[in-house]
Amino acid sequence: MREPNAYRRLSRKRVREAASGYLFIAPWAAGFLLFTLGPMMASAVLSFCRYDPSAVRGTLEWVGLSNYARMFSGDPLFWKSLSVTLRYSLISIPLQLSGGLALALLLNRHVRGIALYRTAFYLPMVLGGVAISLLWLWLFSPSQGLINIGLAKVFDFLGQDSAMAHLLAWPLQAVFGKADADSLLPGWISSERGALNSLILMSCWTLGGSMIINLAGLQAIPKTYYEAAEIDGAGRWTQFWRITIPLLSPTIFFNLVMGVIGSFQVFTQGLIMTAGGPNNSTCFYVLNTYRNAFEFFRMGYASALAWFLFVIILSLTLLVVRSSSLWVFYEAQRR
Amino acid sequence: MKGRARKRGRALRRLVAPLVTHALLIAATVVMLLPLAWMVSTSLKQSGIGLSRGIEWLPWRDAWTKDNATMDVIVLGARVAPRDGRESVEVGIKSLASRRRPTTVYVPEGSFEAEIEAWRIRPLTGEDETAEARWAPFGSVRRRLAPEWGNYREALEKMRFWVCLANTLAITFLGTAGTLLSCSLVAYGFARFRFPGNNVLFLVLLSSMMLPSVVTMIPVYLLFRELHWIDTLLPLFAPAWFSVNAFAVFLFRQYYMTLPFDLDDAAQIDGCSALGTYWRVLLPLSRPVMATVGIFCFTQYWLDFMGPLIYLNTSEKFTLALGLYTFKGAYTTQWHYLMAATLAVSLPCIVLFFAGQRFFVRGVVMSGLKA
Repeated sequence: MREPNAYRRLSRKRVREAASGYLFIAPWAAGFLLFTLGPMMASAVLSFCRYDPSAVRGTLEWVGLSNYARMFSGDPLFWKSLSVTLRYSLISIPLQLSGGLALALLLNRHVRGIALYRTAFYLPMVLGGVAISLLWLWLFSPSQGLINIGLAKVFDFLGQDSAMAHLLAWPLQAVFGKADADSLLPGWISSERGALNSLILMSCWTLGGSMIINLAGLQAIPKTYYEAAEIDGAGRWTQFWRITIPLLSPTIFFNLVMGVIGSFQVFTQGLIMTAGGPNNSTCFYVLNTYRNAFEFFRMGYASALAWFLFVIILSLTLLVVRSSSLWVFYEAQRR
Repeated sequence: MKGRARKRGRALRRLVAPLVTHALLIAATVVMLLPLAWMVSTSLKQSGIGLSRGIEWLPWRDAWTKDNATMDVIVLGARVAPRDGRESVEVGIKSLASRRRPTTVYVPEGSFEAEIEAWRIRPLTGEDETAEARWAPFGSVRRRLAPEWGNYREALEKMRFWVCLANTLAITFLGTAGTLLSCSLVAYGFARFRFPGNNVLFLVLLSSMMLPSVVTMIPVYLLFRELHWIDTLLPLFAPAWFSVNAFAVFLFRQYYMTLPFDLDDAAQIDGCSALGTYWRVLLPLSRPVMATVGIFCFTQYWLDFMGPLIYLNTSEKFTLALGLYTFKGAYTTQWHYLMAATLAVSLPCIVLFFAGQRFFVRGVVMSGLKA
């Protein structure tokens, strides 16, 4: 380690080196101040103000903690959006992680055509939020959508009043709502019960990203470990829990952190597919924030909402990072 | 005995396991690709009736032919009915060209049964029964493939695709170029120079990756409003030139770290300045990272939705993602148009994905490695 005052005794060459270094990172420093640090501070200040940009200039008004007070006690939509987002995250993250892991495990079994499968699994990711939302809006259409037409055929085949049809329809409708009162078909995003679950189901369509990361993690595990374990008489199951999972835990950890950060900021689906409805059942937190800021022009209140989200994401990330020492296993630490 | 049985079991497993794996993988592939196939299929269908024909993967159309004249029709339904002492199939059709009343065509049983099997048959409604039946004994109704390529032309026209495309191209190009240049430059500073705070600042940069964009969204909006940049493309790509993409900086820095310092020394001996070393030596060597970052940035700017949604107001400035969203608002149930437009908007990214797949995969993988 350098002594603290090492730089004082630096040669002119070192000073010049440091100066060029600062010069090279200057664009980032400027950008960081302009687009990250400055706005963060400003948004913290704004969260204590009332500010309506659509009104005449100078409507910035200090209101103290009242934005926060309103959030916690006077705005039912805040709690609704928080619970909607929490539910979305709690279900979709495990689904995406386990689905991505399962596909990666299948692909890691020296199958032929691995590149083709990988391409197919990742393809949905490159469509982007708007296209995915429009496509699934069409698929979910209760009367004309592919899913319900297909289901209707199945029910026709089983017989509309048969026990089998009802047995199949019951769990579907329990999770995804009813298309209409006397129908066996699920209502998907058009029903209050099913809208959020439908969006969660849709999120599983884009697990290609976590699949690819998992696959790379799996391929980095040395084959010799498995050979050694097999010689020691470990079965497939033991190998999976004692070798694969521990060695893959950093990858799972990364996917988890990214999943938390991403799923708390879900926005596009909520705006395009359901517009937050029916009855605010898909009013995601960021959608609510966006509306407050840019539709109702309550920028102060929206800043308070944004800061609260930041605190949630930060604490969840820290929680995951802190807990990681319990379950994430880094090979380099194994000394 | 026991050993042999186990050996046989193992051989069986070796034979069956790949089959099961493939079966599962193929099932997953079908689930992944079916929605895309349905999108393509819908985009080629006829409006109205074409969309309500149930699950038809190809854009079928019905045509009624009689006496060498062919007419596009909608098959309303069919049923078996006795006629002139022979079993006949009665097919209710409706002309598409004119808004004429439904017509009933009688076809002798047997000759067209196979074809009728293939039609989507719905019971004739009351309206059809009261309709004046026209006798057309030996006309025939046939299905034919008729992809509506015109859907694309009309959808693109209706969503002002070319205007949106020009805007999107400008943003994507300027945003990607800005990211590549500024991030590689900043990464060079972090990787090659010793200065107080190097590591701390790099950690700050890394942690800014975790910051949800919602927190800075409102003040940044107000900042651009002060600059009178609202409803221009500037807010969408200008930040890129200030190296706001921390992940790109990270990738470039990690890559520079693997390049030996001898390169810099050699360049300096040859009279290169620090900037010259970056521009002439390190940047040309970092092509793989540039490809990865470039492809990532391209898709990011191409698909960006929230930025255009917040900053753009007039339709002359819209990007493809925003144009698609407003198009959806105007043509809610015209799924053939919506799917055609959706496909057209995402096609460049799909093509790019197929062309640069290894860079895509590498980028995703590298993003996972930093954990």
